[in-house]
Amino acid sequence: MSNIHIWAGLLAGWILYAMFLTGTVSFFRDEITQYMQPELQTSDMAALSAGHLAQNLISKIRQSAPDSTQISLTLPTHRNPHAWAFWNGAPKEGADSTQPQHSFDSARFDTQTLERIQARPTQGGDFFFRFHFDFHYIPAIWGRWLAGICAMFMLVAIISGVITHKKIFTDFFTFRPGKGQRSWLDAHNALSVLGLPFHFMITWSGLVTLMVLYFPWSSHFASNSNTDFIGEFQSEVSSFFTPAAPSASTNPLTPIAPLVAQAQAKWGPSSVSRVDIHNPGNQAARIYIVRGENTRVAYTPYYMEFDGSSGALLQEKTQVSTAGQVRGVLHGLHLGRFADTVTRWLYFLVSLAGTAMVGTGLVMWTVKRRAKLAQPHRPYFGFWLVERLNIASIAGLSVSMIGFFWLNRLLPVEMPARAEMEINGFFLIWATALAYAFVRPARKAWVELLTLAACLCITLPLLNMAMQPSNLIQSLQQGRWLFVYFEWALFAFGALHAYLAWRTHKAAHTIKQRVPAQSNHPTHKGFNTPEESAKHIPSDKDEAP
Amino acid sequence: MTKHVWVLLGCLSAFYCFALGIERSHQVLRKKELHRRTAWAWRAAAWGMLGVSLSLSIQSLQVSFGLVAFTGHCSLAAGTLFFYVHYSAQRRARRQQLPPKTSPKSLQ
Repeated sequence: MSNIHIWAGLLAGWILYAMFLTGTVSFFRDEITQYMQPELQTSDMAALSAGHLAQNLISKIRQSAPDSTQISLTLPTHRNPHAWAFWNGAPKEGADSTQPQHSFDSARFDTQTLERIQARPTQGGDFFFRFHFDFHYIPAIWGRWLAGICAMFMLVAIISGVITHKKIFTDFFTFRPGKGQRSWLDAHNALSVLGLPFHFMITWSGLVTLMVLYFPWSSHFASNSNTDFIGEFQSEVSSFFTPAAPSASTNPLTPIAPLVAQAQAKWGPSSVSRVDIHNPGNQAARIYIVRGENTRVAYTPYYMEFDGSSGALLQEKTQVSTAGQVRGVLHGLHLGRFADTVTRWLYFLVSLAGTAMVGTGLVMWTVKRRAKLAQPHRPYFGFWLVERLNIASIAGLSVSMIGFFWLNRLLPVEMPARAEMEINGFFLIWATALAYAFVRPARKAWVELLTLAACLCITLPLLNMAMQPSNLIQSLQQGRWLFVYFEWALFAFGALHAYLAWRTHKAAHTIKQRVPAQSNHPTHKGFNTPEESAKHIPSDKDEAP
Repeated sequence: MTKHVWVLLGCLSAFYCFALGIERSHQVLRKKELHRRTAWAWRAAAWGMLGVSLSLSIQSLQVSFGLVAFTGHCSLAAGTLFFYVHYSAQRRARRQQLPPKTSPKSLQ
């Protein structure tokens, strides 16, 4: 069981670490995107009610795109103060069945002025979110299969880890510093056990969200025997509405504000997240008022369907099948979109502990084996490779993630394909960190990359002061708290990386002083005491990664 | 926010009782040996406090939100106690001018 735990953890560990860390920051996906578009003013919530805002924005869109047959409007929330709309334009002439039949357009709107707002192109927090299960540069399906395989390894590692960890209660609050491998094991155990329910939930629910991809046979069987299966399945798992064909006769679109008010009266204030309209101005018009994810845990379809001509309520979807509900709850738990600010921070902190759990596990593999190396400075290839990959995936990822924010500030706003260039830059930095880890001595690479990450974190707010219209002092004066908290968080992460770099440097320095003294001892070369030598108990020299 | 503070305080109390019900951390916090009967009493108190926190969480935040928040607060409280026990052990070791150890069985 111990071997299963070690090898399941190691083989998927580097990808799992990246998935965990990027998934962790994705809990603040909207906030990251706002931080990466500093020219957007985080204005107060709309003075208009949700219904009137939807009404006015949809009228505005219909004026600019009168041929549109499909409009989807996402209303502002306390986390995202702008409205966002997506609509199709006139039908494309000469488009075959494999091509989109319409051109599509999208825009973000100021909720006060109802004007389109422009900001620098960036994927922002959405990049980290997509990366943590799709990765990048590879087809999404492959990425999701890879994420699923790694999540399965993680599940195996969690279960085998619980079985292997014999003294789960006795060692509950135990941490023995300065004991090399023992200290790493204590830290790994603590990070695992203290957040165990979360680690299990996030891994299992991650697999459940993509279960149809991993187990397609039941849906293939059902879709062969029942041609309506896809539609039925979609209606159980998502609020995606297939547009009906328009009729020949026209009819004015019913006012939307009363419909939104009707939904809010039933679901509560600020509960409507989206308004979808199909075939506006047509006899076959339909209006869907969708309930938001911030008021309930389950990520299941929940909406009202209205006749777009008469405003009559046609259907209220509030229930799905038991299987759909179970899946929806697990999906909702994984995404955490229902969480208030405190719960979101709890998600973030425990997920960060999960990231550290994977990181300590990876480092422990090398710490444990270094003690047994005949020549620690000339390890065998497997050890050397694992150590370098650890450096690149842990310290290197920190550098590339903060480098992504730096690129967001440094790349010219008018640059073509700017959003993609930010992402290319992220991978370029990460690849450079990997190359750096390959050519530098391991301990120096750890210290230098961690120091670089710390410097980049701490100096990014200073770069903002020099380059951006919004900096920490102005944000404090204007009460733009998102920017203030974000930059404080950068200082905190900078301090954390600086501490880790200092500890690694200190441990390496200690070893240098000890090794010559011990290597001359006739009886216990490389060990602190003859007893340690006899038992092969790892000594303090393993303290550094 | 206040609701979360109460739930967290309940979880902190529960995990403090757990720490007192475990021999190694009991020695750090109380500087004396833990008897079996006392250990069971502390553990029962801890489970009781967890039950109180859970019911408080569910009552104030509703069942689904309450369960999620309670789990998160449990992890946060356990982590806080973990650091507190470690800090206490180090402070005690410094006072006694000994290497920091949480128990004599540290090299098992």
